Amino acid sequence: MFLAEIIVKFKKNVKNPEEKTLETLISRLDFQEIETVSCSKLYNFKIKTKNKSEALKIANELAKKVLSNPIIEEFEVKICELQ
Amino acid sequence: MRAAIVVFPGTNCEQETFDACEFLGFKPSLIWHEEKKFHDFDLIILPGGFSYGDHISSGRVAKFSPLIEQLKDFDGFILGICNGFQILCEAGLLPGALITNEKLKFISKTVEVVFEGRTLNLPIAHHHGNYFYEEELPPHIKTIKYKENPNGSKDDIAGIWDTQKNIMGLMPHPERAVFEEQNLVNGRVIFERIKKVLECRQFQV
Repeated sequence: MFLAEIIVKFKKNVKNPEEKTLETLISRLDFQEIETVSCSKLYNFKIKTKNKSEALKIANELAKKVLSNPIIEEFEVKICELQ
Repeated sequence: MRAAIVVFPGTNCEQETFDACEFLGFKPSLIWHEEKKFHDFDLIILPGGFSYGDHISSGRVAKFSPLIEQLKDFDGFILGICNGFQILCEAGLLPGALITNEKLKFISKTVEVVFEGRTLNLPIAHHHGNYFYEEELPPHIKTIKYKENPNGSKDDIAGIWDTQKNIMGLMPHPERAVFEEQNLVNGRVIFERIKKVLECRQFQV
């Protein structure tokens, strides 16, 4: 069994309105140490395959087909084996 | 002229769209999104609402509906209103994507848009109407623009019309501006324009 962690975030050239709002709030609340904000979505899946590369392939396909829109978003996939 | 209004779980503007179509001389039918026999219709409308509760992203789940997957082979006119526009973009039937409004607010008001050189007063009601596309839109894509940008849309875009494929996506709701009792009637212009396109097409065939 493998655990897939899929992170979906806006591409650099797309302004994420949520980040801007959070930045405004942070500066209003006086968190002076915080310099940048980035928001993304995190999905976790347990995948039952024989090996890691198969699990990676499935997770990539899912991220591409269902979890992201290539016009505005990009994704990252991490896989680890569950004991 | 037959119009099919597609209903998804979470669609909520189908009846108003049906009534508007009927009033303007179309023969409308409500069809479920799993319907496979829709090729006899002249016009397919994806109405407004919140298909699948906007889960994952607006229009994301709806794009996997059997009807949407077959829409690319439809040779009539396709109109997506609000959530319908979001579905068309998600499915890649129209270019670009609709993201959350710049100020993160749900906006519900009447706006002025310019459609083929004419200013129309139409209602908008959305949370994800901020249109984004990376490059220039090709010349066969006509744009419908806000006079005053309400949501951060790129180039003030309120809607787009692929004139080659006859696919139009609109964030404003033309069906909410048809009857006198709705206080706005400019939505008729959109439906009548579509009718004209379809009439020309029938004439050519």
